[in-house]
Amino acid sequence: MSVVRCPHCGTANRAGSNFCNSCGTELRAAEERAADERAVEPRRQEEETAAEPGPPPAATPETPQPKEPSPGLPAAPQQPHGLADQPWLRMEFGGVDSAPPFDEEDDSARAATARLAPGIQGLLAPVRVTVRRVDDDEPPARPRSPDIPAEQMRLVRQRMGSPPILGQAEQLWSLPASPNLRLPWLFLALGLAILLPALLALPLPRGAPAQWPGVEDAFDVIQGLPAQANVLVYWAYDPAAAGELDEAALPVVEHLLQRRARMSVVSLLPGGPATARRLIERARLEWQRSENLTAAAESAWVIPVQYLPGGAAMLAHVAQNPERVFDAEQQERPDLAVVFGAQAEDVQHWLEQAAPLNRTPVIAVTSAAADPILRPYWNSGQLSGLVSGFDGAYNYQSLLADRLPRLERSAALDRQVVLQDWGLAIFFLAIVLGNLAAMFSRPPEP
Amino acid sequence: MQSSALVFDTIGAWVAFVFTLMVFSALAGDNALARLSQHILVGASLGYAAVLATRHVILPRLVDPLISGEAGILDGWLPLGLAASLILAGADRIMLRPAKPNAPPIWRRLLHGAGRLVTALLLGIGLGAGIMGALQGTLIPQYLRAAQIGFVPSAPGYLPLVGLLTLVLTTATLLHLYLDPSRHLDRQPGAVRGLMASWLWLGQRAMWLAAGVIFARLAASRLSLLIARVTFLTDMIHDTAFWTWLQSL
Repeated sequence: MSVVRCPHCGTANRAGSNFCNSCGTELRAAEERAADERAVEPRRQEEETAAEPGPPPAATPETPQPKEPSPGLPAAPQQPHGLADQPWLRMEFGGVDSAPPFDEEDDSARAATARLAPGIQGLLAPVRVTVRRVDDDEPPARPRSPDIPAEQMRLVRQRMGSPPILGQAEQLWSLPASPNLRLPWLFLALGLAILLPALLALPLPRGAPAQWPGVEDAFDVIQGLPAQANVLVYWAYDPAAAGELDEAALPVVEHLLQRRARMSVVSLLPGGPATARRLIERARLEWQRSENLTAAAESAWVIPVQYLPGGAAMLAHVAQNPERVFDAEQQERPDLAVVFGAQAEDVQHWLEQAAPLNRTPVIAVTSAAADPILRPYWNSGQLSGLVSGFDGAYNYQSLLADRLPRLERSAALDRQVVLQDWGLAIFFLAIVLGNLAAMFSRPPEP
Repeated sequence: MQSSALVFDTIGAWVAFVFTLMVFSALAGDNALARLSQHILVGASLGYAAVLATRHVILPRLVDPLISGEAGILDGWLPLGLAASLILAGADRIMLRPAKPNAPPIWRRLLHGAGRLVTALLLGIGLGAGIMGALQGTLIPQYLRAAQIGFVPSAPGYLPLVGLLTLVLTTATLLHLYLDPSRHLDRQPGAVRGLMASWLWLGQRAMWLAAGVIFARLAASRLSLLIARVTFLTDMIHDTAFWTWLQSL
């Protein structure tokens, strides 16, 4: 192993280093330089010999031998050819390059490594990328910095990270004390506020959800569809978002079924088709129950559901060639497009890739989080209707119940409103209490 | 047949109940049950996606037409060749480490070149479609809407005010993002400095307001998801004999 130990602190440095990576001591003194050259020359000869065909040269006494791994470490595996001149990439390398040495005792360093290489979505064990110190004997004592309180260190880092303020030193701001959110208590309060009313089926409190513009427009567009209208549905959510989106999509699908619309569903998500089939079946059962239809009368009506991989670029194909997507002899131009999307990007993709091509009116049924981003599209007329979140679903369901009395109001939505109010009350309480605590708490010491 | 489906539904519901509790246990700290449930979720999702792609895309849209001779060169053999070259190049790079990276054999260089070509095609088509879509679906319509908002004769009286407010807040936000008062305003006259400082102040507040609105709707959305899971749990509990016994007390 071609490493050079620092005479001052003992840290192993890469061969050829001019200064110690740890303490900065000059390593290229005359005698050390000569020794280094003696050590490097045989390795160079070995590489040149290895490049030519022939038997590998035997190790000479001057050839630096690989260091034996310490007892706690496994033997180093055979390294790929490309690492021959990069010893710091090997696990048994004992020096430090630019990263600080890995310390088994230091949990914070391990956590930082895990953040740097988190594996697949943080689920798998991270790949260890930092070098590990391998000591033959007792590690040399490293110079320790004086103990500085964490708050002072934070202040120093903050000021060192900020652009310098010349001539206005008095404007240096003081750091606010970091808030202590007590997250476990917040989670517990929120969980109990949802769990207990749900378990005990409390009917109160039950406020009226906000009435956002766009819901009534969506209802009117579907209500104005002719019988047997051709509706293209882009299903852009899967079970991960079904808890919220199912409640928003159910009244719209019920309305489409009630209007005898012919739906064709396409999804770019693997879990999308199964979610679509499940919800459409649920809506069909509700509708049949409310209108006393027999299942046999509707059994011949099959809604095609297609899964297409390939990302948003496939939506242009859906808009231009629906007959190829649905394997139909002839697919008429859709009268309406409905996007059930968990994120604003899903609706934006449809408006950008498909809507300019087929010029079909679009209704979006989305999560509440997507509403503020999609609102400008409704204002500009690109969206003919916008139903978002549980409040949009509640208002759509109310319109259905008012204008189509045979359809029953969903009990699940009523319960959702009650529980949503409980959760929002906890949010409100946490914000108020947090602000009061901040107002009356002792200011941080300078 | 119907009874077996009912049994499977019941088993599935209870498995979902147990896994929901396992995921929720992460709130009490990282533990083996939570990690196990996440591993199972990822594995099951990937397996399901692979089966779905095979059964609904690869077999009916590629393999079957090729076998029956219905597929042409452009819609059958070319996609097959591109997909095969990408898969082979990726597999070669992942599984077979070259002994001499500087001088790989010619077939390996050709394979990697074909893989790069397919990747370039995918990236190029995706980026081209994305840029064109952003132009025709977002940028131009939104710009036209913002530009026309104050100049529609039949518009109600408040609309020009909305247009003016949109203009002021948009420019203020852009100024707040791109202007550094200490660098750009120091040598300006006092009146200009005051006006710009007010404008920047407005832009900062507009950003806070927008962030607040987005966060509020995000919180409502995530609360809905939590409620859906909790109501699933409580519905399962309500169906148990234990709950019936509790209610009878």
